[in-house]
Amino acid sequence: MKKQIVICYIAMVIISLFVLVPIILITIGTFTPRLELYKWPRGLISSRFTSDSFISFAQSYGVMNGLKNSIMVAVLTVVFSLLIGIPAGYSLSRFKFKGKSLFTVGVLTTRMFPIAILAVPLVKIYMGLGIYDSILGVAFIHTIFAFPFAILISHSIFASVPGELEEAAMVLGCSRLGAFRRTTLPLVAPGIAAIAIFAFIISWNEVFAATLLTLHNRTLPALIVARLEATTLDFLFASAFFMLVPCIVFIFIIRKRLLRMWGIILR
Amino acid sequence: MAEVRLENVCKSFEDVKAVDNISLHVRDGEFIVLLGPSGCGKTTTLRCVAGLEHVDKGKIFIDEKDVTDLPPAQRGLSMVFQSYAVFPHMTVFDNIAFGLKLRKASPDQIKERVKEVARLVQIEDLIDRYPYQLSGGQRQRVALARALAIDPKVLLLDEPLSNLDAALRLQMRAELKLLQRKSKVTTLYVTHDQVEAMSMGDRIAIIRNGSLEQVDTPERVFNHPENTFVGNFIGSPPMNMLECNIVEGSNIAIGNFTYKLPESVVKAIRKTKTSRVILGIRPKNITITKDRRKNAFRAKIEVIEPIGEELVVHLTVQGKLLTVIASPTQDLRMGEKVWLTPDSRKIHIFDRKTGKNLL
Repeated sequence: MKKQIVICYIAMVIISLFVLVPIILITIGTFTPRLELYKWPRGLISSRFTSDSFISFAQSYGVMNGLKNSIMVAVLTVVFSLLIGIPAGYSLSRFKFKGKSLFTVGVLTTRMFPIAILAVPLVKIYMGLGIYDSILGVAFIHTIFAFPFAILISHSIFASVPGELEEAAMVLGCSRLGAFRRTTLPLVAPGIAAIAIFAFIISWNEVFAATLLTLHNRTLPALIVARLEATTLDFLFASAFFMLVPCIVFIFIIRKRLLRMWGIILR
Repeated sequence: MAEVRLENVCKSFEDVKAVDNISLHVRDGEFIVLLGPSGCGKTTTLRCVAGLEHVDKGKIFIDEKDVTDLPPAQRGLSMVFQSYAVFPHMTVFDNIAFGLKLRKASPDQIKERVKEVARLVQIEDLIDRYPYQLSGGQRQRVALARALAIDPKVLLLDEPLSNLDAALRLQMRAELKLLQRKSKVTTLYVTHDQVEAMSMGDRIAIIRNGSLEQVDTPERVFNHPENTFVGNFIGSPPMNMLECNIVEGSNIAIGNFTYKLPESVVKAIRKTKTSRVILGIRPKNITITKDRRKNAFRAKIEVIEPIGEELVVHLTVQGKLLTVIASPTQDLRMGEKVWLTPDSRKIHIFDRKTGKNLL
């Protein structure tokens, strides 16, 4: 028993280091003086703290705009995915209807076609619809990536909350919607938070479609990738850091809900 | 308090008729038990009354008001589910207060009422706990308190005791009955346990395959079963059913034996003009003797089960199995040949074709 705990701890430390070390190195690199980055050998910690490269990156052309675009696209993707995923998952778990299993499989087939195949038709269609090079357009394609998972995850979450809770609430005086809001919704909130994290990260990480479908209104990753070759080390560190921070902030906000509720769910 | 009336209620799921033309009148303040084997449609009937299922045909009235198309919230009833369905994210207090808050009661009123019902079901000390900190029996009480808090016109109970252990079930059975007597709320109680039904119900509605077989007091259901199904289903061990033929007017033939029927029984049967019948007799109403008596027939003891205050004796009569309850003071051996005398006042004669009680 004790041995197992020790092994468990070692594993946790290794996994944590695997995630944390790059984050720490990127953070250090970002706040190291520019010339020091090219020195060899150099110490782990820089000689002095400076936000020069951070600021120069932030001020370089298109970055703030890209950050704004990325955040908006990601938030829209979260909203769209939840708007589709929650009702669909709820219906799958609560109602019987024709073609239910076909629907479940059908949802996944949206991921069957690589975006590379769809690239040219997609651009053509987007231009026709007038959403090429727009935030909304990128959010749409990111939603396409995220919503199958949103549906499947919410389906299993709703399935784990007994329908009798809603029925009990309805008998006691709630409408169907009111019963959902008062019983099921608070119980599935942590799961929905998890879906939100998932959708956010899918959107935040996505480069190819974002590059393809935008020209001036690039998201941050699309912008950085476009400039990757012709750039300096300090710029790279700063851009990596820039990518990291909003993601971490978002996860920390959502995480609170995640932890607070798991403790009492479904007893 | 209210009466509940079901008129020709039907409900099907795909091609299965769960409720098949049930009409039932539950009187004001009555404790009625819907009893039947699992899958007979008793829970569906209850859910139709609650409004959780929409009936295909027929009408449901609560106090002369047609509620057939009303949502559950507007029927003024409450329900205790088999799984209790206590809200896991709320304290016991909030669970009980749930219905009161929806009815926009003032905080003081809520507090007082919650206290009152919590005391009634003896959970005052648990009011601040969450359901996961409670035992099954305590959760059951919370569900009951939540249902009673809103002063329902009708209380629906769906196998509320089936998830409790045996000792607790006995205790809750008595408590529930007492509670109902005190609050005088019209109660529909679903169970598959005939002992529960007999001990709690003012009347019992026996359901099979979605249809009512008999609605009567426990005493009537036990002593005057309307058909073989009810005779078999009520009572433990079940009623003995012997297929036999009526011969020479007042005798019936059980294999090689003839058994003389009392005059009143003969009169009743003669009207129906059938001769192929089933003789029903409860295990308690047969006497085992070693010496031959008038109107007795021979049987062989196969197995004896001593269960404390009585013996359950399994015998064969001409290859047919029979159960008799005897006193442990009787000296009986397995394999022994004995004589059986049915109490002629306690026999039932059923039509073999329809299963209907002919008396």
